[in-house]
Amino acid sequence: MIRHLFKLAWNRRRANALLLIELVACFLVLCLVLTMVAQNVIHWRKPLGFEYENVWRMNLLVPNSRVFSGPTETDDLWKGHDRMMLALRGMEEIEAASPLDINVPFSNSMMSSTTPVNGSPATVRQNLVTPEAMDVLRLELIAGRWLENGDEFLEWKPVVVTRDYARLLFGDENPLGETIVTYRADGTVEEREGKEKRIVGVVADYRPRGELFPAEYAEFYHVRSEMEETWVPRHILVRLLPGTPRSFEEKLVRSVQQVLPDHTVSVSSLATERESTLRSNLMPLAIYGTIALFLIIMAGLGIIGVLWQSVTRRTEEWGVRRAFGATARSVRTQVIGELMALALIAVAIGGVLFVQLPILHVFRHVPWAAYVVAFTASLAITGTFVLVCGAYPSWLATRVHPAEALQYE
Amino acid sequence: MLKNYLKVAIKILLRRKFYTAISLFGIAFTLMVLLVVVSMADHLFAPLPPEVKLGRTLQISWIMAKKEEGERKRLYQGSPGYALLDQCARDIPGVENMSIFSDLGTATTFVNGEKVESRIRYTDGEYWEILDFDFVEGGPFTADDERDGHFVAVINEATRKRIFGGAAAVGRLLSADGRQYRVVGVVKNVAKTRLSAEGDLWVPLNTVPSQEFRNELMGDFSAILLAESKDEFPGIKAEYESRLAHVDTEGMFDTIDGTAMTRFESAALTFGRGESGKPDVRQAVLVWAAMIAAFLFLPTINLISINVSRIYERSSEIGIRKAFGASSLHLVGQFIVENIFLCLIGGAVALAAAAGVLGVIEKMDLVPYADFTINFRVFLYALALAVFLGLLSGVFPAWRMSRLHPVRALHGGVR
Repeated sequence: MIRHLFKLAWNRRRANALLLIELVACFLVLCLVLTMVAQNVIHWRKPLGFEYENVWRMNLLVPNSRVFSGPTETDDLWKGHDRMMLALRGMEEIEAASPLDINVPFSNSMMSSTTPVNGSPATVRQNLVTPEAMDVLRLELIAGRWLENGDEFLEWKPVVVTRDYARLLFGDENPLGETIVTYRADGTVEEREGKEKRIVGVVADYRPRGELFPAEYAEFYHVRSEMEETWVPRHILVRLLPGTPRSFEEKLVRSVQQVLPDHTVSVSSLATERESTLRSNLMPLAIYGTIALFLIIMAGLGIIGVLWQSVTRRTEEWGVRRAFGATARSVRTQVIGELMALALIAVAIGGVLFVQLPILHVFRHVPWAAYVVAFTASLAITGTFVLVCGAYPSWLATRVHPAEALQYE
Repeated sequence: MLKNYLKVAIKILLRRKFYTAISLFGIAFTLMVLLVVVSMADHLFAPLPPEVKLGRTLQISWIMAKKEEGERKRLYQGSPGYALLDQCARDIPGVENMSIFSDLGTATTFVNGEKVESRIRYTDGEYWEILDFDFVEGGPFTADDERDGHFVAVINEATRKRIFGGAAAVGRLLSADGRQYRVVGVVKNVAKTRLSAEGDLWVPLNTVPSQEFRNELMGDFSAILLAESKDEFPGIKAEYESRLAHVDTEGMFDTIDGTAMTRFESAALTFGRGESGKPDVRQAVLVWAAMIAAFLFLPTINLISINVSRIYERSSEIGIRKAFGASSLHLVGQFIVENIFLCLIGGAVALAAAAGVLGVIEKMDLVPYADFTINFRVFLYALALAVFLGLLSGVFPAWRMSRLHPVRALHGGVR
């Protein structure tokens, strides 16, 4: 029966070719959009690794802080910074405050280094914080200890890393106490400037870019541990007591401006930042989704039209089948079956094309699971879609009266 | 002749309304999406106020600096700094006027305890000469204001509404980040698509709290160069690039790359970044064309398959015309004209729908202050797109139609 359906589809290959291309295109559009959706859903279900409610970020425009040019006198700047942190701690609305330079959660800019780890390059986000960052971000410590006051004076640099990064560096071995050494592609150890980094603790996932992005490789270390000469932190995170009103912002800005009159201060809440990054990341998905939906509706209507036409043109065929005793149901099965056979071929072609994406790593950061989910869902949707499209034309075919049909023309 | 074709076309379109509706829906939707994209692109590239001299303007807003030490690479990609622009972009022959201004930052004002954030831009005096802002009241600040560090500000209408409740603002004081500025002018809101002109608040460069930026090579600044004419572009670019090669970075970087770009080239930079940080316009255009082609694929196939199946409806007509001596070419011509006619109707619907969608985009404020009215240029694009789609989806079915054998066509049954 099934072989027979394929044969029927093959016999009408010229008429079916366009239909087939259309089905392949529909399937691919579905696969692509659903991969994006699946990827986001998969990421969404994982924990963020930190708490953003009641956390505000302060951005400071620091005069004389030159990132790319040579060193300038920064002693005064550091003194100013310390005075400001002291002032922040003195405010009763503030639970905890810590610098987190450049790498603020939910922001697009980030400071990372790409270094060869065990031969392949890995992007590692560096978070320069103080021990209080734990109370601000409420990370989940799963092994070892968090940073402590006094860490900055040690001869080596105590570093807390994320779980994934520890696994990348040391596999399943215990990373605590190990030194972070990076190798070049040829296997030689790479020399670093400054103190050596030793892992003292491991935190669970940390996903500062938000729910839609994968967990990152990250290092946390004390902002003063390098005693950098050329800059001071320009982003401060503060955790407020729950229930602090928005109007506290003015007081916060005023008091920072009192301590540091030549700095420019602006404040925003992480919750707002999160919303705006979410919106800007979901907007393209919504647009692609809507366009894909309309494309598929359009293709569906087209397929109904073409089937309708071909069913009416095959009137004699239905007449003959009915005259030889075929039931209305079996005629209907034949029409839908032929379409299904076509859809199967289309899915096979589309599947072969689609599987190239993960194999060739066209999109980075898309987990295999997303492809699998998208493929399965597309399969189910295409199946339903074909059934819906075939419903009316196949019913038309059963309306043919054998006697009339045989007299056709 | 054409009139006859159109008459026949209308008759046929009205005969099977379901098919006509499907075809029209497909055409209209496809063209609408393209028109929304095209009209947004038009608002980005066309010389609209305040960038009325965009056709003669080159902008420098992106550089790429590199240093390699073994496998460790240092890479900076982003805006140039003031010092770099001052050294490399000033006094280039062929340039009539040039301006250096900061990228947009945020300035905070408190109005009765409520925070108001404005996107602030620090500019020089020439900025106001090159760009043609529409002043509602007052006027721009001048090069003298800039040199003497007067605390004066130009704001847009939206900022006037937020901070002064919409009342006349010239002469009043505005506090931004704790500094007091006297408002000298109010301009009409500028759409976000006018990249070098947009903003809420403009103040002189000399009022930046620390003037240290004047020594920075990288970050936070852009320049626009107004050329005497378009023909000067290659010379200006060459001069800027050769000066860029000689910048002393005190060993921080090995090379600094980049060029002065037209608006189109800077958009191309996102898709086609050639070697040495210059935009690869050809690659970008190819990428754009490929994206449009990918989008057009499904609708075109859909239209073709509907058209092919409609041919059989008309086999008797075709048979008669062939029997009476119409050539294949005639039939192909007729069918393509019909199809283009249908696409033009779809194009008209699409134009209306696109206007609606753009209205919604404006309402949702996805592109701040944008005014996406459909102008004559976009109308012409719509016309061209409709004809293009008509040809694309008409040629194959027309060819199939012209090959019908007259006798079998008259018989009515063609498989």
